[in-house]
Amino acid sequence: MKAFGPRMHKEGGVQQKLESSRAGRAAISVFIVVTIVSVVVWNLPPSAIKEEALAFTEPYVRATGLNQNWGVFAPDPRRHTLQLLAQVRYADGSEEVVSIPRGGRLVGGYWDYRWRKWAEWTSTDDHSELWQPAAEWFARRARAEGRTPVSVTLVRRWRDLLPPGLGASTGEWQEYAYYTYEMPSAAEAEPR
Amino acid sequence: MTKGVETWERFWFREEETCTLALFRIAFAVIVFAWTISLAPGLYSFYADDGILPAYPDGGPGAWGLLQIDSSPASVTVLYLLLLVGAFCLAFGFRTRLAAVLVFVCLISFARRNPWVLNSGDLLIFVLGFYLMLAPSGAALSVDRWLRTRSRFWDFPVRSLWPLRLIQVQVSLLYFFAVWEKLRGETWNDGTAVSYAFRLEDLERFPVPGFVTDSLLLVNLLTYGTLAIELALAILVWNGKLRPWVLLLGVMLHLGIAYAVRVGFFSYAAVVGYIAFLPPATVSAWLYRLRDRTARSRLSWLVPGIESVEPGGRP
Repeated sequence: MKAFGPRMHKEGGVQQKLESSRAGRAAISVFIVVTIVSVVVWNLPPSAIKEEALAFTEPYVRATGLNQNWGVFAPDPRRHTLQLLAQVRYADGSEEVVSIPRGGRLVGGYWDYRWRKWAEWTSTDDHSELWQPAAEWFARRARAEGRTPVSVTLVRRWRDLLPPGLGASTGEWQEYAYYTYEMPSAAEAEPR
Repeated sequence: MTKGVETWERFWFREEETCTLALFRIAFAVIVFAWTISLAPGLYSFYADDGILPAYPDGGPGAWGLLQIDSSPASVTVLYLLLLVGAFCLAFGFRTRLAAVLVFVCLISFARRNPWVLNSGDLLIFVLGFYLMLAPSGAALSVDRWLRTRSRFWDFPVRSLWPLRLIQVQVSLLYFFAVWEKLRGETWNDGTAVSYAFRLEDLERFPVPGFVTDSLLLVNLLTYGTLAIELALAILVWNGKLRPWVLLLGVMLHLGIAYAVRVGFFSYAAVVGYIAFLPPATVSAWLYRLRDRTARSRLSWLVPGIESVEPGGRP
């Protein structure tokens, strides 16, 4: 093999043997091309060519974890502040509004961002499959505190961010209860 | 044709000292370790079958993960501990290849079990983990090297460049597609996007003064500046002369994001990705300087293999 770069201390190994043979480098080259093409295809905007190519590349990018998009705050950042709340009604007739965990500014941001991400997905109409598990989780949390929840209502709370330069920065808080989960009674919950 | 093949081989298979790869491995492992620790407060809520997602999600064709077999709290605990051990071994370079594979398998298993709690930083960590698995990252600055050849511990053996190149290409593509995606949006075009991103109360970390987010001139500068830096990180980073400045701008951009927005490990993962672009001569100079300073201090016992080297020199 023609060596490029500094000739310094060198040791053997399976990977090096592969890299030093023409056939090995050809195989690695195929791997490189497939990988880069697959990543590029995955990141293309919706198009006919993407649809066609995904039929071949999708299993590979999903198996390797390369199926990632990089649109941070893209195509636009959200234009409203968002909160996910749960109104929990208990067997004794009382009600409580609970929210997702939130950490402090310095360290909390390194663990609570996952809750925020989940709240973002769970608050959208596009992912209604997340609603019941979310309500059940809030109910389990209440039960863990020794209380008996009878229903959980998920509430989307938001306020718009106004365009910069207009003086006022935000609109008024708004709320929308979008899903209610009634706990099955003990008899219904009994396994068959 | 022959010239094309030679250029391809020079680009991907040129051999370089492995100090850059070793530094990348250590920084990546530290990030993974911190990421894993930060997972602890929500571990069972996120990943166990009595958490926020009881049913294993359909990840599409090709997707796989160990928690598909069982996601009881016990299995989640085992996977979590394996990831901690893997990250620890990867940082020190003990059984490095095995540790890199273990880290990747654990990361992707967590990712597949609950994709709804991931942000771009997490995704970048997983992607970097995949590429690191392909690299001989324990060739230098590792326990593996210490066990193999103590007298040459501070030598950085040469290896083919292609795994590190793949990381470079991935980082470059990341910014290219980030810009492309942003240019499809309205607020990145009218220059106000950064104002909205900094005013999201649910994502706010430390506050950005109102005179910044309300000033059209400043938010235009910040928004277009972000696009310009990201485009430079996609394209100009390949220019050797401009690279240090482009990377420095990238670091500043990510420090700003880490200050203002709760993005978890995104900024740090991106900066770890930049390490792949550092020339071996620069990295080895840094490492030798650090070694010699530490060797002269009270912490000299921390420096392995120092007895076989002259200060400032190679073994």
